[in-house]
Amino acid sequence: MDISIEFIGFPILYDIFPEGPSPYACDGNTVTQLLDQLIAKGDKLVRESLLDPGMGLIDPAIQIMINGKFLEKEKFRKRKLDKGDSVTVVRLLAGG
Amino acid sequence: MGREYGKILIVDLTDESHRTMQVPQEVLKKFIGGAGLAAYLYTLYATRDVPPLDPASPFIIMTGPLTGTPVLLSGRHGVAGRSPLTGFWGEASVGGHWGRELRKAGLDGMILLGKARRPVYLAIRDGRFEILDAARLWGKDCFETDSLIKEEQGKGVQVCSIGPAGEKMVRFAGVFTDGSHARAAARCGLGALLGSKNVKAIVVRGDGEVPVIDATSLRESAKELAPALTGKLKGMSAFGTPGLVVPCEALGDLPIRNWSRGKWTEGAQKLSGQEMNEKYLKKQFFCAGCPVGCGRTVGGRIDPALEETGGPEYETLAMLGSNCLIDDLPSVIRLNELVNRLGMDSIETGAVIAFAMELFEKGLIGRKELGGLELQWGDADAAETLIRMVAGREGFGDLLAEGLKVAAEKLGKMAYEYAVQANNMALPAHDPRAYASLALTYSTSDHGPSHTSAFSFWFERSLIFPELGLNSVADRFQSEGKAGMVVKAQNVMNLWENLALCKFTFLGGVQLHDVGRWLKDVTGWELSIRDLIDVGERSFNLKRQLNVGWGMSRKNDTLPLRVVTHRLSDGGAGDHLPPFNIMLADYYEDRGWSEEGIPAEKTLKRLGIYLDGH
Repeated sequence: MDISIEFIGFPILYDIFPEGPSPYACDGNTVTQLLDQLIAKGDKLVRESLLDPGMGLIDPAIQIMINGKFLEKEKFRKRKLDKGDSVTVVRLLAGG
Repeated sequence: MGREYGKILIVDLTDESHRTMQVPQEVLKKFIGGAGLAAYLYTLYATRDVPPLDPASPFIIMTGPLTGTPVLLSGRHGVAGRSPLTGFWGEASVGGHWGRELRKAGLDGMILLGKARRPVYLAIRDGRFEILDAARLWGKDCFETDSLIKEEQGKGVQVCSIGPAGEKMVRFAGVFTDGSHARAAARCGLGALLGSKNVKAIVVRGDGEVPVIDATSLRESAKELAPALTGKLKGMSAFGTPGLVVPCEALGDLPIRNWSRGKWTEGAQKLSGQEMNEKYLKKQFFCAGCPVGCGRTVGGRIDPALEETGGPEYETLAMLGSNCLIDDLPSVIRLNELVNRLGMDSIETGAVIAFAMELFEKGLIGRKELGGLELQWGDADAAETLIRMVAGREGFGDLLAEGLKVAAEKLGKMAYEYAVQANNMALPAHDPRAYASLALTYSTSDHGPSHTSAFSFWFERSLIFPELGLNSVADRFQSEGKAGMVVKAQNVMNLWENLALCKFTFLGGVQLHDVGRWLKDVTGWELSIRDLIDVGERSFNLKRQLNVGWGMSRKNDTLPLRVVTHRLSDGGAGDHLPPFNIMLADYYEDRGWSEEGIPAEKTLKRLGIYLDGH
């Protein structure tokens, strides 16, 4: 399924996913499946960015926007993605 | 090319004399500018035995050589001196527009000595320096002061000032710029130092050019870097630092209920950057030379009296919000505005309010001590009353105005257990139980527990920095390799302080070789990457050596027991506790310090640090 994906707040992924949505072929149907795919098939930097190594799980700080709207975390497993959806993976960790 | 960087105005407030000095090139190449140069100048203008609030205690303001140039995110300056809060070295940096204006006025820094006989404000404009009467400003808050001075001096001036808290020498008073946008150099209590000198404000207006050697090259560099930098910082632009509340809560990083809880998901949602954007954001605030605009200007449905004001940063939302269990965003916006007007550090203010709330809950203080106040968790109105008492040094507020450790020791019994501080300074709003490196960052910082002193947690979550040998993101709970990582992070962040460059440039992809190029374009200096790292390490060790002179050793490199022994369990940090002692031992070795935390002779010699009288 063709969707678009954008990463916000991942400076080390900028060269792989520059600013703005990039086309992405998603194998699964849900947000969780999309994240799993990115971790399984993505570059080492993508894995490092999406996983919380201490917990061995997807980084709890990651937030997802679909078509510009934030999705509650408990809906990651159930929310179906549609062809053409714009998924934004957000992780804000600057601090100040 | 006009003048060289390093022109410092020295003002003796006691006899109202002033002069300028030019810092020699060989000193500038060792420290560059900013906080490191301030520490060096401190050693020239004060002896070890001068107490923080003594008239002989210097108050220093410094820019960096890049301040006000076309270099992106370079519009910062800092204040420095011996901290009235900790008694050790103090520094605080700030964005806004004041630093650039000082450089346009032909100056790069100021040192204030002595004490004015009456309240005054200092004005630098049209190449002229004046000491002016501040009788009608004394007692006014920071926003009023900004407006009144602009009425007198014209709208084009930039003002930094203290509020009523600084006048009363509240130990965590700050120095504020940019009027109601409230950019705050607030940590370490240097507003109290300015207040002790009877100085209400410093006003600048400059019409000159900031000197650079190769403006074309600088502009080209800015043009090259801008797209990636703004792209990488898109999240900061969109949500500002308030965007961190939700993710920090998810990681167990957000202080909740005086650092005693790990989870507060609904509350965090209510205080989030998203919520602020949707309901209260009026516009972004941009510091000089910044295309990102992480600052927030808020207004609307908050309070009829609040049309538009600087919005709370993450630290404020955490310390005055979650740490006090206040989950009403308009209330936190209102408290933030109050604290900014009064001129206090919102981190320290939130910490003392949460401390007092816990003391009240545990029966260690009651309504009698609080002048009838019922200080319950989450009560924003009660918090507001207590904040006013602190700023005015009224009743119990007078004790809190001395800082957490002092207050806890005076109260006795179990109070010390609930004072989340190190050397009398509150921990900022990132938790060492969520990021192990923070245990070292806070305990060994050159100016008290400060997350910005190393931003070490970036390297445990989202950042690599190959020029420093940090090639992969570290595991946030592990201790292995953390000492070396923190040493590198502290050194490079010291360099950034000396440059007076915004540290968000790290997240924007700026590297040391970029800095080397900019410095060459601005000053003509050719500094290698090694030279630049040495500048950071030298500055850090110089400040440590100053602190050692004031009695600092391993005994001061501590953390509050709550964050090293109390497991949060229910949050995103799980059961983790920072393996503090092991990391500290490694850290001393990596630093070239003795087991007591004293820089070894050979370390100081290698860095060219020689202190007489300190």
